[in-house]
Amino acid sequence: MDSAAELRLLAGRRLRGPLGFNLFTAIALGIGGFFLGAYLGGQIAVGKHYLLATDQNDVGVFMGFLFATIGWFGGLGFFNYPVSRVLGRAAALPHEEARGVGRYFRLSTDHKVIGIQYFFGVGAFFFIGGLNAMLIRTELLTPNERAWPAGQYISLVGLHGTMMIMMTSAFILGPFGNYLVPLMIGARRMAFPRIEALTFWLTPLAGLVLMSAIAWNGFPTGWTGYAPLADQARSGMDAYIWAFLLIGISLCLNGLNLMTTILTQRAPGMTWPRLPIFVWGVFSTSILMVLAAPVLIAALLMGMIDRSANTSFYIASGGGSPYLYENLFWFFGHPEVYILALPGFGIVLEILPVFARKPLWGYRLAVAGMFGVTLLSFFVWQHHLFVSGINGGLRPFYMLTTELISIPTGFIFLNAMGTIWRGKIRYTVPMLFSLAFFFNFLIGGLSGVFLSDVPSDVTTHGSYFVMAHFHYTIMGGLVFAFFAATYYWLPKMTGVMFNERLAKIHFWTAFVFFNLTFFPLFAAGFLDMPRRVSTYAPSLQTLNDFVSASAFCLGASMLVFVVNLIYSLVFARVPAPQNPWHSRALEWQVPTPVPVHNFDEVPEITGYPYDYGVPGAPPVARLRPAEG
Amino acid sequence: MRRILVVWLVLTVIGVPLIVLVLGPHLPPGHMSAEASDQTNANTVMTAVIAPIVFLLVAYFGYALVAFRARGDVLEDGAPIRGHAPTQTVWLVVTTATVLGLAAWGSYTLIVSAHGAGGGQGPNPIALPANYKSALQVQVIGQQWNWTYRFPGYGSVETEHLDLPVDSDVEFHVTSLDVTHSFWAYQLGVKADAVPGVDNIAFVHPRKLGTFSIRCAELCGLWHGHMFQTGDVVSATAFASWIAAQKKAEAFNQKYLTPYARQYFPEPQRRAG
Amino acid sequence: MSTQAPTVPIPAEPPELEARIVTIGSYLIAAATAFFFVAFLFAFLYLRALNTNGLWGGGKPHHHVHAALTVGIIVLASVLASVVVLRLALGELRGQARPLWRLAALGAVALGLAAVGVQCWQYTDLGFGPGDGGYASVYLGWTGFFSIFALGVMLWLEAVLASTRRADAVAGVRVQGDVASVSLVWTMLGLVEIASFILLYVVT
Repeated sequence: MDSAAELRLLAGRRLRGPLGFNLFTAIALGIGGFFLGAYLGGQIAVGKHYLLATDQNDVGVFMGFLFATIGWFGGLGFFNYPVSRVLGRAAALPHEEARGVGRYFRLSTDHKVIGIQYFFGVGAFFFIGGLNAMLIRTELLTPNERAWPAGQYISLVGLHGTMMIMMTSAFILGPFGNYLVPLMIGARRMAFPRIEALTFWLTPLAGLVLMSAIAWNGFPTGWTGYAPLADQARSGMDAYIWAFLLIGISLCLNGLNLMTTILTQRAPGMTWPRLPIFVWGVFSTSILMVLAAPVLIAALLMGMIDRSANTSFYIASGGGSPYLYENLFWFFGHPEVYILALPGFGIVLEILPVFARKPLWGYRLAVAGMFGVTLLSFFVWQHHLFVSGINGGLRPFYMLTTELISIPTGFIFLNAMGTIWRGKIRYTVPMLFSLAFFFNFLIGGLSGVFLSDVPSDVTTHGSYFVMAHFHYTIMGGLVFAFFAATYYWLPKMTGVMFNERLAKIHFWTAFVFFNLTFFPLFAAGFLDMPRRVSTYAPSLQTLNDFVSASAFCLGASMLVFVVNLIYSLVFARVPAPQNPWHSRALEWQVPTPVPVHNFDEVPEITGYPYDYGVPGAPPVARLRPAEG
Repeated sequence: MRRILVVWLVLTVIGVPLIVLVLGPHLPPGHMSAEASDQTNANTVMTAVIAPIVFLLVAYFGYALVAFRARGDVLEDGAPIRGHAPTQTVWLVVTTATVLGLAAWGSYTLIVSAHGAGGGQGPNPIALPANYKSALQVQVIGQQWNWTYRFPGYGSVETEHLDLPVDSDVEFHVTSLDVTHSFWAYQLGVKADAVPGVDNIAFVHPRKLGTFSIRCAELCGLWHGHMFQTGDVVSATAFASWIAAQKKAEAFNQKYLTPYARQYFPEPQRRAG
Repeated sequence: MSTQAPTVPIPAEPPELEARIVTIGSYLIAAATAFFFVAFLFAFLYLRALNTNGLWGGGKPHHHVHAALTVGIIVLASVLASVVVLRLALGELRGQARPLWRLAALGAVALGLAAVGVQCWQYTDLGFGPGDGGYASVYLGWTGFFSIFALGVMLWLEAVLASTRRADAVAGVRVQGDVASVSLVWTMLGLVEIASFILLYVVT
């Protein structure tokens, strides 16, 4: 058919080389778009005093980012489909999908390609953020400014925070959510493959936009972007706002896609009690993403027009309130913490039964725990604002809800305790990371109890205690779960086994130095060291030097991982067996590497995924129901 | 299972009194004010409550990870237990009771016994000390990157140093001229955000003479770490002579100061840095 | 990597499933849209309650900025009429798939675009600027982003209409699913418009 051929030509699937729709075109059009937009924005602002009430042109910068975004997605070929729909051309899915390494650098609607893209994408941002952390710890070797000027230090703090929380929001959901959810529920694809591609490609664009802040000497607000400071900041703040905006859209769409997939694409027989626990984790997280991210988007848009169009949502002297931003931001910000943590719960509970050779203990309790956290996380946000002077009378309520959230979190610990009881535990690397997750999360969670109690929080709020607390939950929880998942599933995703010796070195150094880095910081917080400072009391220097030394070792430990990844993927290439861990789960029953359609026929789910040692348990699925 | 419980009981019986009696007195922020004591007590209680939880999990995992390790290379399955309803119920009841207890105790100390525990309560505080009407009023003004203080009871004199009389109620009115700061008098146990356009009230009752450090606990830009001062708790007579000397020294500057107000709105914050 | 054939086909789903996917997706979009505007609702109520610096209603003394009620009524009426017409079109489509539904849907697009147009025209003759206090900020933010959302939905509806004009168009369940989805999101935006009318024009 004519229009189909036309579409194919449009979509550039026949085009090869730098001229097609791919990453290089996207970067070129993005940069061109930025300068075009900045020029147009400058023209708009000319003569309009209220647009130019500053010595800098934020209208131009935002217009630049808008056009850069359009150029980027045009270059990747994202507009081909909507344009053809609006013009009434073919509306079906593209009929074919490219293969080969090149597909990782262009628009692909295959969830497995997107999973790998996400893995390397967020991995890159994680390492940039880690590098920032090393630079921060270098400064903190001495109590006075030595290594970096104050302005550079504050940008490093901002970039570290945004790289780690904003850019890697999809740290687990991106790579493993996209790759594994269809495989785990017996689907051939995600519900919205194009939206899935969009959620990924928003991420590197946001990363590039964020890093462009360096051209304006960064932004001074840390990852929270608190309003009066953000209104005062120079154009680096525009990059922060636009990047977070893109990530917010990405989060919202990712949640929408994952939830729709889980609701509609389950294979026959995949009833709710048979759903793998990781999928439950993704499902509960999706609720948070769909509902919390729009509030962030709105908050950032208000900040954007405050900076560019002279409104005063957050400017007290203009009739606004900085509290408005704090409320809106933390209404998103606290669920965001659970967007990071809940998939981690899912991953460790998925891995524990496999290596304990036992059914998951208390499956319903785990699901209840995840949904309990999801529900409660919408009602706790003001615990970030206990001393801010907002609603002093409501503090007991938020104290209660915050402490209540430890009940569902406690369920997850009980699941782990029950699952290892009377098991046959094999200490593989994924298992080690999963167990370390519980150790770290225990400390992180219990230190949160201090912060939830208002009298205690008055001591610890805004200090290194808070910093140690959330590094224990996010770095010690989420990142350890990410590495557990990486060592566990990458053999399936890449078809290559990791070098186990390097992996064990990575685990033990990461675990030891992680705790040596962050545990002393609880003490630093108790001893009156505020967050985000480049100078501190000289009496704390020994403590800080010890922390910095441990942090450098932790950084080196992450390099072991990179070495292992490159060595195993490029040089050694030990082929992975189909099911190296002897798992019952559905994703391990398909061949390695995973076929293009995941399943040749739609499988029929016949059993529970965790029935290890259950006499007479049926296999989890029949992959060829027609023959069986 | 019994062995774990015995280990846990022993650890708890030894550990909790050690925490309360030995570690507790050293927990921050000390006992310079009534509010600081309340926070130290809160920190002690929190540590004492979470210690048994840590002991239980460490004992449990320590035992289980050794006792239930796989021996040999043959792949064996563990016992197919899917759950145990009584355990789950007990766990739910115990965690809920602990959490509700902590929340009730926290709310009680916050509002009734600790009078807001030194935290910023906003313009309309609900946790008030008994004789708050006679409290010394001190306005704390944060700006990039310094703290200044005004004493409305003493002709609104503005000082660059903070002295407080011992054994009297002090009512801090924390506000900001530019961005959000957070007034943190560490040893006094006071922390209150300084937000432009907001009068954030916190109470403190100093009990001991001495020096306390003042920091900014909310990122406020380039020199956030440099918003560092010290203040002193002095006797009532020393305070009276200090404030008189300040009024004299600042008399010239005082003529050009903005009249005292709960909040200040300088020129609308222009966005340029 | 692999040296397979350069391209492989992607499996298509049956139209019933596609319709279900789009419908569920539209529920989630509607929920996300609602939460987006809840942020503006919160901003309205919060800034109005705080009235920081006495600037909720505008800068000068005795001068309360206020958008013209007539224009607000016209915008509200156009949006609600568009929602109702689209719902009628959906009913028509579900009934016998008479060609009338396409006309009705086109009418809905026209009414929606008219609402956005009137809103934009009002910006040129507002009587106050974005810097005139809390109300002005919320008014411009809320109506501005509402217009962008409305334009997006109209574009979506136009795409659905355009794709049904193809000779080989997948008719039936799939189109019904598409139109029902647009209608759901548009209805949610209609509710948002009612809320914004009450707050921004009636209460202020």
